[in-house]
Amino acid sequence: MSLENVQQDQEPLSGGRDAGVGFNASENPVVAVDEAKRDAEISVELLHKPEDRKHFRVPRDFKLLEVLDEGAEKLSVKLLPNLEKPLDHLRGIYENHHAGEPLNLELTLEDSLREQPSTHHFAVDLVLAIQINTRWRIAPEKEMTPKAILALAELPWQEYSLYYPADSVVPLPPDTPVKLDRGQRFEAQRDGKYGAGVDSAHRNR
Amino acid sequence: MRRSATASTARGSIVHIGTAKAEIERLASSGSTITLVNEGVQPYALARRVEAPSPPWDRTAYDILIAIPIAYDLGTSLDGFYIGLPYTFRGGEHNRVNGQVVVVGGSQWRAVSWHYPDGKQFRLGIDNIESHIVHCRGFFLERGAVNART
Repeated sequence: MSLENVQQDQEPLSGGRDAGVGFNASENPVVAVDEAKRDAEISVELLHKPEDRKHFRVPRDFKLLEVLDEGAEKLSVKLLPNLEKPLDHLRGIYENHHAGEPLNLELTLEDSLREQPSTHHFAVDLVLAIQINTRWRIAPEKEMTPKAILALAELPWQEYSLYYPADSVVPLPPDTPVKLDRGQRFEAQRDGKYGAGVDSAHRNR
Repeated sequence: MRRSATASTARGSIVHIGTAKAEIERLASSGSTITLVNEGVQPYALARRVEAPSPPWDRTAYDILIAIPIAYDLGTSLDGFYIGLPYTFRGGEHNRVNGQVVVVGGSQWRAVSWHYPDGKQFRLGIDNIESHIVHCRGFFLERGAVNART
């Protein structure tokens, strides 16, 4: 970002949200750059578990992805499937402890603080991430049938069967809902077992 | 989206394995121990440490070799795989490890007769190298296909 852009992007600091240094950015652009890099104090909690809120400072030019990573570390939770591209969300917590929509993790904290409504209070939303072979997906329900799990991974149940535990020899019953846990790993195999009944029904017509 | 990368082999055949290369790169970047190896004009995906129950197998993980058809990008299917030699199954040989022996990367590998069920062959777009490795893992787990012939 050029100095020119920094000057244009800076909101007037006197009277601003975090004003504590009484100067005008246009009068002192060097100080304005320093201001943009200053840390911000934020708080992060697990969604719907405000009792374990953590307060800490992070640089304003941190991406929200880094805020999420940092928050998860402070809260001693692991993001899935990895820190670089988590399926988990970071949400803003607003008035009356209302959680907002998942934030764009590519935004910087500074960008986020400029948006309205803005907040220094965030929540880590640990989603129900499950793994089918190497594909990670967010399960929309806490219980799903193996056929629905395969569909979630874009695998046709007529051709694939689902195994759990991953080294099981016997596939799961295709239409019996399975209770899902975060991080649960299934194996989908193209063995045609679920589709066998369909095939024989077609053949017998 | 399929890559349309092509390359010529020393013998002049056109190789269409850009999709396979991309899949292998993606799998490797997500933590799978898989590499593309070439022996002559034939490319292979070398998947390391595919888990197996021991016993009956003589170890808990095997390296396997999957031949990548040179027209993979055009929809030619993956089928079967090679197991590194030597191995033992219940103290002897497995009746499906009965194909040709190839030397790749200085090691010997033998083809395993482990195919997709009739009418449910590998289809590029739905299936990929990752799902084929799971298919191969089914051999070690003795899962069998719906119409498997023992």
